[in-house]
Amino acid sequence: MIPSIKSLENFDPVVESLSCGLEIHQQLDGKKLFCECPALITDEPSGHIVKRKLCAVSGETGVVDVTALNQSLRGKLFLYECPPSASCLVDIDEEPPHSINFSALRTALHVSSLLKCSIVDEVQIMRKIVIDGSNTGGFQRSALIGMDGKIVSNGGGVGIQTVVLEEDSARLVCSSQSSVTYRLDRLGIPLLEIATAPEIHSPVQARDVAESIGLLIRATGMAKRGLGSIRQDVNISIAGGSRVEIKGAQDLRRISDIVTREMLRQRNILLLRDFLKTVSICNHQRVVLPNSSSKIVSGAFSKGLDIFGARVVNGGGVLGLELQPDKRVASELSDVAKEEVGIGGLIHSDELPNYGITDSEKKSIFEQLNCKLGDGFIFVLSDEFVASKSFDIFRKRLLSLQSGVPSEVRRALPDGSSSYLRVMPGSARLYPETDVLPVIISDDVIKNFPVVESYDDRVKRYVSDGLGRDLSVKLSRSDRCFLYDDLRVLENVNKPFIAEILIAGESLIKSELKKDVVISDETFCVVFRALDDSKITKKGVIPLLASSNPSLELYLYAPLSSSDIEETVVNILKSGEQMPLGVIIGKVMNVLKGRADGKIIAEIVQKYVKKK
Amino acid sequence: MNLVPGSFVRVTTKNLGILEGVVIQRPSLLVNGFFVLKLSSGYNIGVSLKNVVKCQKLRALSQGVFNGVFDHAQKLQREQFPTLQNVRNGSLRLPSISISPPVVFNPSLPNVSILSTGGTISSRVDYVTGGVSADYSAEDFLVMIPEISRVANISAKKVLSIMSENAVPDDWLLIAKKVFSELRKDYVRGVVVTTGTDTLHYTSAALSFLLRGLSKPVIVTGAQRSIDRGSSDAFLNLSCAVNAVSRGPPGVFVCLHENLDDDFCLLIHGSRVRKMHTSRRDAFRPVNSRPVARVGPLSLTILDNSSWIADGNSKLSLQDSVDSNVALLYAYPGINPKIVSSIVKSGVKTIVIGATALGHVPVNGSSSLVKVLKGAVKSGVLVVVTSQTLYGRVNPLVYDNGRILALTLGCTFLEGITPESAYSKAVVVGGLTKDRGERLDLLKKNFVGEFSCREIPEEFLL
Repeated sequence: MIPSIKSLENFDPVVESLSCGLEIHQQLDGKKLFCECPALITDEPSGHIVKRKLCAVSGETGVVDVTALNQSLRGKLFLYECPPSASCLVDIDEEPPHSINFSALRTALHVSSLLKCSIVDEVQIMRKIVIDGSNTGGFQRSALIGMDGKIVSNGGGVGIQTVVLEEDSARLVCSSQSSVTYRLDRLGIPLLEIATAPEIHSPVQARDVAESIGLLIRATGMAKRGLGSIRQDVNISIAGGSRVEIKGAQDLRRISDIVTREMLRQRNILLLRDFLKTVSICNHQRVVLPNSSSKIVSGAFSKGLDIFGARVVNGGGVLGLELQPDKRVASELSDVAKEEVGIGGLIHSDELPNYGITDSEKKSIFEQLNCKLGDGFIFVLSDEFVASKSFDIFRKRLLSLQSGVPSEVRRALPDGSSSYLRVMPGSARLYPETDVLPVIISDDVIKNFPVVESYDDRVKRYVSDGLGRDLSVKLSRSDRCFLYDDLRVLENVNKPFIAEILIAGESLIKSELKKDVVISDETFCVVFRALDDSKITKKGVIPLLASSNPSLELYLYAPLSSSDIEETVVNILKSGEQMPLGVIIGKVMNVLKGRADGKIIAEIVQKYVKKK
Repeated sequence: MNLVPGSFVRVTTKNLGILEGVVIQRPSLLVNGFFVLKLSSGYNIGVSLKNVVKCQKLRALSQGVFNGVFDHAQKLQREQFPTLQNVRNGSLRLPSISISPPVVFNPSLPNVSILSTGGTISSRVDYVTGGVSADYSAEDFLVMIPEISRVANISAKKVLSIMSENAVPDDWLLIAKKVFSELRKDYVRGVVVTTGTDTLHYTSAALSFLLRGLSKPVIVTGAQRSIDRGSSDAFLNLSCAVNAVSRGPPGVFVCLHENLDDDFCLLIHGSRVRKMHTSRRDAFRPVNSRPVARVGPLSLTILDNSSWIADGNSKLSLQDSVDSNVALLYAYPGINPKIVSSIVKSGVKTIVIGATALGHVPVNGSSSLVKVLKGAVKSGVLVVVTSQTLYGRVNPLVYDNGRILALTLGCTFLEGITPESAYSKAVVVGGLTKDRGERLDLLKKNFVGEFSCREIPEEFLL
């Protein structure tokens, strides 16, 4: 009997004993960590494209790193786009690093001290071996700054293990089986990595801690803003499970989902473990499906690929079980092969008929593979070499599921589920960066940090600006709070209006103008300053924020003079039609589309109606 | 205190609490008062001795720095994954998927000898200086770049272990001797010399002049990024160099990256090449010539095979002495003639001038070198003129300045040879004969195509 497993609906995370820790990665603004390039993400034409290969090398201990070796097996070609305004020879590993960016180092020290960490006496810059190509040098420069701190959030205090200052990696553009393209604008941007102790005990607490740390870094005013500027990795294990690191959660709101779904996955693997011990994957063989109407099958044949399948003893009904939403037992097998040998995926008996493969074709495969009652099968569409590698991986993965949850690094998916990324890195990953000198941290540096405003103080200040509690909280959590602090000094613009527009600008544009835009800080400044100088009316704010070049379009929304308004009024009254005062005013306002104040329009209309 | 490098310690500090880790050798060039501790996370931190309250040695480490120190996972990893050491001594074979099977002699492949002499291509982190030092041997290259065993049977020897900025002409001679003895073996198809890149072009030029009657390729290569990083240019440079030996033309050539891509290397005439960038992997460029060939790990396309001229000797021979009494002098505005006279007084036999433009040095006013050069020539010193523009040929007849040097002072203008190549040539020629006239004739003679008498438009800034 296949044991019943849990789904999100009947899974209660509270009864599980959870150990969860976070790694928060926050980019810092300014310059890159080891060169003079600006920390700038840019879509400008890429300039030079450099082609590279990486080789597994031994680190400090003479040990070839497990992760490193594993990834080098794939022998990929790496292409690096070098946008000229945001990358230089240092980024393509053609020039040694410059000295460490002292402003970024100072921010790291500042954050360490805000987190009540002990700060190291002398910062040693290390090379962390990473040979997935995301670092041109084959390593990421990284330095331990602070240790043993604490963050307090809603769920209580959680220990901070380390504060590390490192280089961000290159930005993935696209990848194929044979090559990976990265963009070098992101490479080298200072990245603060804050690791908590595994003391988080609920999905909600995970989210709260992540947010508190994010707010604390941002309070220094040195954090980079915008999508991708903060990324969270989550380490999760439940009792009896294993430590699994889930990488790349960009959205704070997803963190509790990620934790819940991983707990669910681990619980389900544990529920199935004993049954999986009765399951095995037989030798694979070529499967024949003549004249299949399935597009997947015919497409593969046209590329010269074949179908290779294997009987899965006792696997019927298990392969399709959902361990977490959209991730099945079969995905456990296929995700590893996708990463390791680049197969597109596998097809299993539980999901057929599907993909144009008919029930009778399913039966035919079943027979060809000598399956018996209760068995399932899996197959891949590939060449013989890749198939043989893939089936090795499937068997290995099944073997590790038979002993429980494999400890590994997984990639966060947008819905909160995850897929296999790589094996857990070993600890021989670090060796000294000999091209830069260590930095002695003097007491003076640690003592004289600027005072930062706490989240609570910021909310209070906004409330006293008249923003109202809700708006104050929203704004304090928003990246645009610093922009508000710049704009609130404008004398002729109402502060709540500024805050409202900063928070809701994009959604107002979407509802009023049906346009999707991201408004830049510069655009906000141009528009609000114009409003402050009475160069535009309030009605012009939304359309101008939606404009790609607001400074050139300000004139369209300039307030009208009295004579302009009078002209309109006269035109409307010309019709001779008898209208109530309100209707006339409405008509005038409709024509002027907000370019004049209602009060002034009313006055002028009254004047003309009286005249008549 | 028990802060012996390599020992595993527990340190109680005033500010960081209790720390456990391995003491790492602190680079001796750094300030005192700190020691470096490797924590179990792998991070090193510097700890101020002032903050140490107590230090307890938990364990001394005999077999390498890390054995048996950290967690079980690391131990497992060490067992599962090979170190260079146990690969080399045969106690462990790398998994066949990552590294080709142990080198087996393949009679259908050419035999290539690799001689390593040090430099970045052989470098690894040195915990004494904190910098990198030459330590890898040629055998290590084989382990790291197993692909080369597909194009050739390799035999590898460590000849020297120096950084090329410390090389002296006697080192060139030693390298030439080792190359010679390899080339004399009938079964050897040719030799790869790995060396530091700082002065690689001096070395390649010297080898071009020291080895005569070459009928096999001698390929000099190196690396701009050390071989202990995954992105090192050494991997491509070395596999292309081996390939160039196995299927390339005879002569001394340099083989390093063609551009920033890890695709191809260029074969460049050993005496017409120069390092033109401090750090780029494509720093080595042909000067006044075109590249001889484009080489990949498995391919070789001849681009211009006209620059290497066989020296006419039918039998391989080696010149076995050099004379390093040669000075290389850079001409510049405001040069103090006393500097030059001190060079003359030092007893040099030849002065190679990296003159300005067509071959000029100050001849008027307080910087005039007329008097000192006249004295030098009179006392028997050979003064030869090359150009610091690097590209183009010197010509004494266009301006008075050149005429004074050539016609009045008796300086010799050396066509389009680079100053560095001329220096190496002068060192070699000095080893051949002490006679001033003979040396002059030899310097003017074109040995292997180190200069050409015609230059074409394509040969600039390649």
